[in-house]
Amino acid sequence: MMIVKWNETDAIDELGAMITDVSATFGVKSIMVLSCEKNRYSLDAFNRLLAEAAVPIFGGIFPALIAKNRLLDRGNIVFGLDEAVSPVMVPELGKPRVNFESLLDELIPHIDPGNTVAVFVDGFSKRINAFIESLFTVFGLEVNYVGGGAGSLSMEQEPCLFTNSGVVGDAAMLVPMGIRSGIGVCHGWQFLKGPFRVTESDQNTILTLDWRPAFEVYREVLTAHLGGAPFENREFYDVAKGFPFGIARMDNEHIVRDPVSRDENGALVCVGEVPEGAFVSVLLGDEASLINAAGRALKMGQDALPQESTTGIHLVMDCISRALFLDDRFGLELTALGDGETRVFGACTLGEIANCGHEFIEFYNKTCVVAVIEETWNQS
Amino acid sequence: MESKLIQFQVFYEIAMTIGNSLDLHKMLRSALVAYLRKLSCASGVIMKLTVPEPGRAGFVPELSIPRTAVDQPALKKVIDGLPNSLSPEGVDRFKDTLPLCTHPDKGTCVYIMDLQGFGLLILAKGGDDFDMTTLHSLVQLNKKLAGACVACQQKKRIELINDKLSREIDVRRRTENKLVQLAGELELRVAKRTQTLNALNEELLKKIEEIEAKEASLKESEERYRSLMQATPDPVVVYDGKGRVLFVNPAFTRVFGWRFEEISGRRLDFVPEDRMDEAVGLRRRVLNEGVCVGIESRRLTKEGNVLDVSISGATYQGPSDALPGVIVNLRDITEIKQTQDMMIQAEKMVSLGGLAAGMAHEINNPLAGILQSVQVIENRLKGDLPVNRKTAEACGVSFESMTEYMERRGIFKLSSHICKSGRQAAQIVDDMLSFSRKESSSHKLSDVNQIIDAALMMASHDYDLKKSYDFSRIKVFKFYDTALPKIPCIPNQIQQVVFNLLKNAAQAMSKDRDAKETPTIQLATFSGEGGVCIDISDNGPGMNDHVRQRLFEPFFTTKGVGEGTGLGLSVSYFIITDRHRGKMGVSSAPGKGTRFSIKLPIFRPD
Repeated sequence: MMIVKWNETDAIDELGAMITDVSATFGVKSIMVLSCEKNRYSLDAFNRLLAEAAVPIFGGIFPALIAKNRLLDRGNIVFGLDEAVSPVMVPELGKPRVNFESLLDELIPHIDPGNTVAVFVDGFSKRINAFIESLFTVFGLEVNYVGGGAGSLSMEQEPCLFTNSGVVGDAAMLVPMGIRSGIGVCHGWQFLKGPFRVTESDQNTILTLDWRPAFEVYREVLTAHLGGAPFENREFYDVAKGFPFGIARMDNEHIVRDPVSRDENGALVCVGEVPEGAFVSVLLGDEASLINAAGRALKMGQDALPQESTTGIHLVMDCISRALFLDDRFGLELTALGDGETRVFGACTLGEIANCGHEFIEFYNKTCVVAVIEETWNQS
Repeated sequence: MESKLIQFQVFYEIAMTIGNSLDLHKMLRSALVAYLRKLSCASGVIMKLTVPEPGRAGFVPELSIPRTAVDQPALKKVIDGLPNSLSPEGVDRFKDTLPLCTHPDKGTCVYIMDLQGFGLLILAKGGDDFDMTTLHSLVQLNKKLAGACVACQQKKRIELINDKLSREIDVRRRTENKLVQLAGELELRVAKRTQTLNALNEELLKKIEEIEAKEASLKESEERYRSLMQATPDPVVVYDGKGRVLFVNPAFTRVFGWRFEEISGRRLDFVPEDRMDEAVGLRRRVLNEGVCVGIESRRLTKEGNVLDVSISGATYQGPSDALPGVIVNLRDITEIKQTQDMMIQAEKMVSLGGLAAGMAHEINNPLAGILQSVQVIENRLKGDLPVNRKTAEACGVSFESMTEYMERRGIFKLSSHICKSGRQAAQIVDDMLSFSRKESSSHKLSDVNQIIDAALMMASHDYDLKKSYDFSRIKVFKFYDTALPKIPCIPNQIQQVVFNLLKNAAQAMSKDRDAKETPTIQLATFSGEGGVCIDISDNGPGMNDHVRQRLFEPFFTTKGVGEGTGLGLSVSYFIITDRHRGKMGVSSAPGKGTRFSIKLPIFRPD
């Protein structure tokens, strides 16, 4: 696929140098950049940098990056692609009643089957689910999707996706790439309690569970499991990060929905929409199950890569909340994502986007997505 | 988690997406996405059962997610393999085989399930197949989906109907609005037109008033002229250009007898034969000259009576007449003529009277001598007087022989004849003198009916009359007015007149060899205006105009020599007109009998 360069500094000049360097490399026709939110580049400087790029450039700002076995909270990863990609930005992702199908028809009239599409979204946009559905309706499973939600751990919506035109927020970016891949998705979170019916919700906010304030029900479960007053004197997410919600589906893992905060009315704000009428269960996980799940994701991806393809890199979209949950044991997960030979690069995202084999595309939370990308480059 | 619990959650969540909208596509999309997501399927297609023609039922894709699902080889293979051209029974048979599970390629399982009343649900799944429990639960769930589809279709139909109704309502509303607008415009126009019409109305009313006034004036004028026409005492007849009667006035009916209805539109046949040429010439003259006045002629009444008329005519042209018509005034001058005749007769008689007066003395003297001498002769020859005997004896003849000789030789007859003739001559002179003599006889109130009866009696016994005719063979009809007033008259003179007329009638009828009817004399009396009328009529041979006009002339007679002096009617005329200040007239025509009309005043004419 690509040349990959990375750094661990937040200096924009270094990024600029890396971009220049990669873009000057023979055969590089476009560049993907994954950048850490803590780099805190000024918008103007960053936009200038992007505008001055000699080749098409695209990417996102994430809470953290994955470079080989390391978790980076500062720095950038620059991928040099051997094809001239055309990133497609879908603005105003959260705007109500936008017909994403029509928009996608217009923006991407054709996509070659068997390709891989990188999908990045603003992790705090309101209509990610509707966008994902439209993506599936329009393109189906003719391509592989891999991507995730960009944004800041501050939970504030900020511009986080970029192309040569600049950095934008509340958007989705699609980058069809003429490379084959194998996608693996797995999370490892397991059933604790439930199901509870989401009696009232507002997109990504669960208002009531079984007609009771959501947080009340949630707290009860955790209290029952942990004892005491689990949320007392603690940040919500510090507790909640270990107990996500899961939406059941047949013959597959739950779709995880990560409650990241609560409001004064007892509603729980999640990453990703929770449809009203859905049943959610409270899940829990541990180190072993998560790491195990990461390994399974890799396996799934490897199995899904066409036999004739050679593995190039493992492009990982791993949920930042897994990193936060696993903390210093996250490195074990990163290790599980490698096979000792293949480069592992990626981002810790706010939600993951992927299709796993013959399944509907989903916007996952707290899930590990591994895209085993074929090698199309003779140079490494 | 228990798979049953997961199944419950999954099916519940799928069920929650079914029937959330009556928009079929929206509902199907929502439901199918739920099916795919919750059942971890790669793609799904909703097939709709269509029946383009009877016996040609088949399935067509209604919705597929992803859109390209129907083109995916695995699904395409399955879809293409679905039966088509099914009869209703064929459809049922096919549906009885569902749900079907097929593996078009390795790793893919395709489920074909029935959506009752709508079509099929096809799901493509990778990985493991559904277990039977799941499949059966799906069948139940699919019924709900099918019902929702049918409901959406109904809604669509209702929407179509609604649309149609809305369009119709819209059209009607627009039409209504248009009508309201037009009604408004119409009202304005009507108001305007009403205003115009009112103005016109007023004008019209004024004109109508004018016209009515003119009509009234015209009517008045018409009435006046009609009244004039109706009132005019002279008969008036109006002919059209073809000589047909257009109008006759009441005077015409009164004088000539025909009513307008009898002769309207027809030619009037009232010209006597001997006046035909004159009538044609008169018409031509009127048409040529435009007018002619006072032409005396004769016309017939409905009863056949002949009237003397004075004809005045003029042409007129109606607005729509092609030919000019003629308006004719026929003044009945019969009385005037009669009066004129009377006057002429009277003058004649007066002249005669004057002549007679002059001649009477000259004639009477010798006449007296003749009569006296004859009387003496008869005395000397007939009278057995001593002187006659003595003288006869002196002549050597006996008186008886002389008387016998005279007898045998008819001398006495002759002398009697001389006497009679002398007396007759004297009577004639006396009669002639009567024209000039003032009447010394006094009038007295007399019953005319009785006078007539006396005359009848006289006629039936009159010797001379008997010789000429047997009066008893004449049928006499009397039509007396029994309420007739008595009139001042000289009864024996009136009687004489009536007698004369009866005698003339009898004599005329006796000479009528061609008579086929029984001879008849009618005597009528009636009251007339200011007088008493006597009509004596017969059905004798009648007389022509020439005779009639000279009838009352002294010495005019149609009888043979010695049969009359020709003074009888003259004297009768004189008696009536001079002595009694009455009127006498005659109407007759050959073959039509004769009628004498006498009118005697009720009051003595002093």
